[in-house]
Amino acid sequence: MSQFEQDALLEKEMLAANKRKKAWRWLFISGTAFMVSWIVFPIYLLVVSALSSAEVVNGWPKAFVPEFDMETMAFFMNYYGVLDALKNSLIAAVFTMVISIGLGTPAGYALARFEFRGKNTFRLLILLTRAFPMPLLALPLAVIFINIGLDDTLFGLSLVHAALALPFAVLITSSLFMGIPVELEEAAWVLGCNRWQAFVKVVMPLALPGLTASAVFAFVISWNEVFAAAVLTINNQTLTAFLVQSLSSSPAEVKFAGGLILIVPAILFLFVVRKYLFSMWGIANR
Amino acid sequence: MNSKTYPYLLIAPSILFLLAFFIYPFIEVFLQAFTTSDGELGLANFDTIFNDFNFLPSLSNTLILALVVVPTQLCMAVGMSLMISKMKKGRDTVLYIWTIPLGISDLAAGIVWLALLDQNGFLNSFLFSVGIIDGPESWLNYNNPVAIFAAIVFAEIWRATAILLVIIVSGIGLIPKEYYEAAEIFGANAWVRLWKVTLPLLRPSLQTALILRTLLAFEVFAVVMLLGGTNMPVLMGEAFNWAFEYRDAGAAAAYAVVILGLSIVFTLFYLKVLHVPKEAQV
Amino acid sequence: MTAIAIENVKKSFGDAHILKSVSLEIKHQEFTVLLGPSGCGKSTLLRIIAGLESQDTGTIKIGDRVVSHLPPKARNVAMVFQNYAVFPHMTVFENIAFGLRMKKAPEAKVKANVEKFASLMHIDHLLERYSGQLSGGQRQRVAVARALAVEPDVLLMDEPLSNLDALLRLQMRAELKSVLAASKTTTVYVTHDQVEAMSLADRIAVMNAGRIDQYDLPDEIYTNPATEYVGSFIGNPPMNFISPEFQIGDVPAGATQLGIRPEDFNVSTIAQDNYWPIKVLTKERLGSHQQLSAELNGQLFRVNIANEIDVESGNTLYLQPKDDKKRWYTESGKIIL
Repeated sequence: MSQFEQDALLEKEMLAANKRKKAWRWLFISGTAFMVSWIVFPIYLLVVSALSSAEVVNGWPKAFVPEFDMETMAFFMNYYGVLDALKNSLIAAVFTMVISIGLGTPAGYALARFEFRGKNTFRLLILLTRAFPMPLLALPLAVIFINIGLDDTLFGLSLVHAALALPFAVLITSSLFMGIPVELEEAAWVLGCNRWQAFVKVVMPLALPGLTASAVFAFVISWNEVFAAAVLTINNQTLTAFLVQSLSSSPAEVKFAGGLILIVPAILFLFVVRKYLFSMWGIANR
Repeated sequence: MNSKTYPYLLIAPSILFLLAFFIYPFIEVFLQAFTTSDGELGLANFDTIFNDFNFLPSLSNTLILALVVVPTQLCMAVGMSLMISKMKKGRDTVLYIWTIPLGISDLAAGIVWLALLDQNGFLNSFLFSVGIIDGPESWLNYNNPVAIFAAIVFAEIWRATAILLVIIVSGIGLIPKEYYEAAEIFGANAWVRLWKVTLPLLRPSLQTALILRTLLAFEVFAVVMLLGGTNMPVLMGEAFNWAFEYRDAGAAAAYAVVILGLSIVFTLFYLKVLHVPKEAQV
Repeated sequence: MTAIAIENVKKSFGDAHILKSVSLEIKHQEFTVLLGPSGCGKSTLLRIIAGLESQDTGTIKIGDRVVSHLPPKARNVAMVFQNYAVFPHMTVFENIAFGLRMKKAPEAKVKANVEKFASLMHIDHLLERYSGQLSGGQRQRVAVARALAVEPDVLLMDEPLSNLDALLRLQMRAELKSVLAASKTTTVYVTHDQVEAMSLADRIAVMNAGRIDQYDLPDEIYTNPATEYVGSFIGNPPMNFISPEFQIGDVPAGATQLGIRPEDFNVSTIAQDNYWPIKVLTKERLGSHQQLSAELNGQLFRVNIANEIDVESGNTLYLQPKDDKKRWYTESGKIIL
């Protein structure tokens, strides 16, 4: 084979390789775009539904662009029981947040900073809660709550939701505190702080963003929970319980507007915690 | 105060809380399930649910749904994680969008897909506009169990792949790059690297992901009610109906025990099959 | 005058006896280095002085006060950590001011001290920065300034230079020495680096497996190692320990080992009486001298010789320990004086 022929062959091969690379790149980008629209498009259509007039919501065929008509949302807000349910959902979620962070933070700190007998047992208990369908525990609690007068109360419901959120709060906060060097605290002690002062002055400011993220996480767990809410509340329904229990009777506007209201905090939530999402699950692998 | 008592004081509130709202109801659900209406120990509640015409369909629906959805999601999540790990520009944005469903309840997911698949929904509108159908057509009715099942599968895959994605992406993040570089130097192509390096080292993450996801699949409930109504019973929905519609706490508890039993069996199964000795982990 | 008195301090973690009855008296205004390999208990001892760990038994006195059971904040000590522990959410100014603020010092005093010690450590231009905007060396300076600003009775330093790169470490070492000499603060300094210890210390405590083997002036530690362990830990290469069958001349009663530093041999290239004929295994040229490792009947010798001596590995060389440099050790490794 002549030099010229060899060069030509080589060039051909390189061109082919380049082509393959380009094809892969194209495939990769279109695959990514497809998966992005797979997630976004259904949400977009819900937004279109929720921001249309009642006529369009129940009409046919559907347009694929929103009218930005507030009729459906307004109808939803004025629908009997919706405002109360919305308020109840907020209250239960706030309770859940307070309880799970209030109880979980000290435990997370203990796991991060102390070696103690029973530490592994405690860790196991925490992990165990995730190996069970926790909402089911609302069933016996419904009976127990009647006996102690907590039935149909938002407080009772948030106790169950907090049981769901607490293990996450413990794991997230403990990984958070582990990420703060213990020497920072020791430096504070040597420089004149007691344990509490060092915690408040040094650990808290550094842990605050992460604590906020895990609080928001607890909020969303409660906000989204359907089963326990439906079982435990009757007159004081949360939004999810309300929507589930009136599925057959409520008009489409209520469903779509309700769905949008349910989803909005989720999207905001993920935006707030996106930085912590992975440390949250990274340690949960262990 | 002795510093040895600090940790116990700090974990005491959590322990008490979990005793009251996890351990105690956990025991109580068994007691309720195995207690007959006249207060004696017995299997009457299980008789009730086993003889109910909805029990077997709900059991098989739940299992089949899990068997179809979970493996599909696992493959998707691994694929998406690999895409994420190859991404440079826009990685954070794509990841953010892909994990949005993480914060969406199955109820909300059901509503989203209802808007799509409803008789008056977007799918029909689209099919109409391209001339495939002539008018609103109801897919999701009892004549069409396959369509209902398919709709639920889509909704579940849409909603709950994110949780697997997050766990697997963070698992991949724990694998040092040097392993891939070493494998590449020894001549392993991308496909071999996936099977010989990534997946084996990912086993702990896959285990966590599969346990969590399978349990969630057994808890599926609102999305089925929305898209299938009464045409497709599932275990959790039946538990809800017995508790809420028929006011029979014992039977509901029996359903809960069945779901718990399934969860435990599957958890143990994953723990055994995907077991990685501690020394062999990253 | 005694600044710190440590009496019979013991500490175990589970089955591990980290400190086995340690006693030590540290003089006022002296710079003491706790030197030893990792795991010898030096950091634990420092942390017990600070109050970050509690001793199982024994007492600690700072000045005239028994501080054994006081929390760190009540001991009037300051500490510099290996990773500096500069608070990331505070400016350099607030870091240095932290201890004073905790003591509720008046604002004028806070400002004066911060400025004084910041300029002493040459970081007065960085006062508004955050830790994330500083280099490792600058963080180190902040940590030292923060510790000095509270004007502590005792300054504790836990391997403060080990996270710096070699050149910076040398520079900081010199600077620390002059700053601490000027401030006259009693200092306890933990390190595993013998060069650091030799260059900084007024007095060195060499620790070995939870005990203090020797507490003395640096020169004494080098020339008269109290134990075989000290001799083999200090010096590079370490002291030779030569067993009885090789002894030439008088051996004191009870002595089983001869300790001799590598540079303390008479060396000859031709055979002489009362010289050991050793076989050279390896030779390294180190610029100022040559370092040999050699062997005679299974006994290993490390020898430093002048550059002029012409020897190759495989050659035989003749050695004799210098009489005034011989140190004798008992079976249990103690020096015979």
